[in-house]
Amino acid sequence: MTRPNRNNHPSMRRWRRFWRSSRPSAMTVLFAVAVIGPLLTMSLLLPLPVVLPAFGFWALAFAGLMALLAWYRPPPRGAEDVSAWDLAGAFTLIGCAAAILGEIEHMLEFVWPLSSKDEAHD
Amino acid sequence: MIDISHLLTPQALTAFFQVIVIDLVLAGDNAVIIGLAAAGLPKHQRGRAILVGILAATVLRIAFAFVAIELLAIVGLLFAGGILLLWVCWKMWRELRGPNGAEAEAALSGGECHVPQKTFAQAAWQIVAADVSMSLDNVLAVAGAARDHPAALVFGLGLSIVLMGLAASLIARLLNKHRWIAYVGLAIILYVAADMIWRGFWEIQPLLAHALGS
Repeated sequence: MTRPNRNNHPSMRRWRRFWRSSRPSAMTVLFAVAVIGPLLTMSLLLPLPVVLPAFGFWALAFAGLMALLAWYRPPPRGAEDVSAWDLAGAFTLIGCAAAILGEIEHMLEFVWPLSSKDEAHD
Repeated sequence: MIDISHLLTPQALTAFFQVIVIDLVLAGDNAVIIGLAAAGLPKHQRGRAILVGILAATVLRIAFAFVAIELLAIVGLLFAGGILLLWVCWKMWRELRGPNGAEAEAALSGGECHVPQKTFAQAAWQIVAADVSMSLDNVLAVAGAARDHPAALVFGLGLSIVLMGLAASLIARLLNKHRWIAYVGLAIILYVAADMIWRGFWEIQPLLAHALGS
């Protein structure tokens, strides 16, 4: 007696269709990972006031990387999907926003503590 | 021969890196507004608009840097700059929601992006007006950090110009495809304007209190 093929069941076909239509593209997954991963790591490792400026620098560096990737391997013209160019633009905007909203003074204070700053200005 | 030994001291290098970091951060708001304004233009004019924006920001920053000390003495300048930037935000908001509102809505709902078109002159004026207020704010911030190291100031300025151009073209390209993100950019610039007005208000507040009291 042959077992019924469960993969051909209408509910499975519907599910596969739904999964195909709603499956995020590789670029969307990369976007989520590149935002959430560093943000979590930084918030665990760095003092709170430094997190936003540091994330801004990370986002701008990642944007540069994505722009280089898009430059060397350009996406097809008129592609509807999220491309490396889109990621580069989105991370540039995120980086600029993080840099504007985060107080840069905290970052400077973290990298160059007050004593060395005083020496520098003497 | 030019003596560069004074540029390689720990003090000079510290000031150098500080100015670079500050410049990189402060180029961000200019990049967002140039990208926002250029995104509404046809592709062949976008590069020109970005160039105009960068040139204007550069000239203004150099001019303001020369008179930074005098500018610091003018009370209410920051407040006026914030109001100017707020006006630019209002113009951009009207462009997004105005006569071409239906197209902006289509973009918002993920439809085909027919970017609200504007003329090159309109975009250039928006960029220059925003550059005036933001460059003023930026120069006042950098002037404090650079102090006795003008070489660091010049290098930081050069680097921020290059990065501003690259960032603005990436943002303009993104906004041209996903127009709804323009609202995010507009919110960022609105924050900058509100921050300038807030800080400017506390500068003029003692004068206002004195004037109202007497």
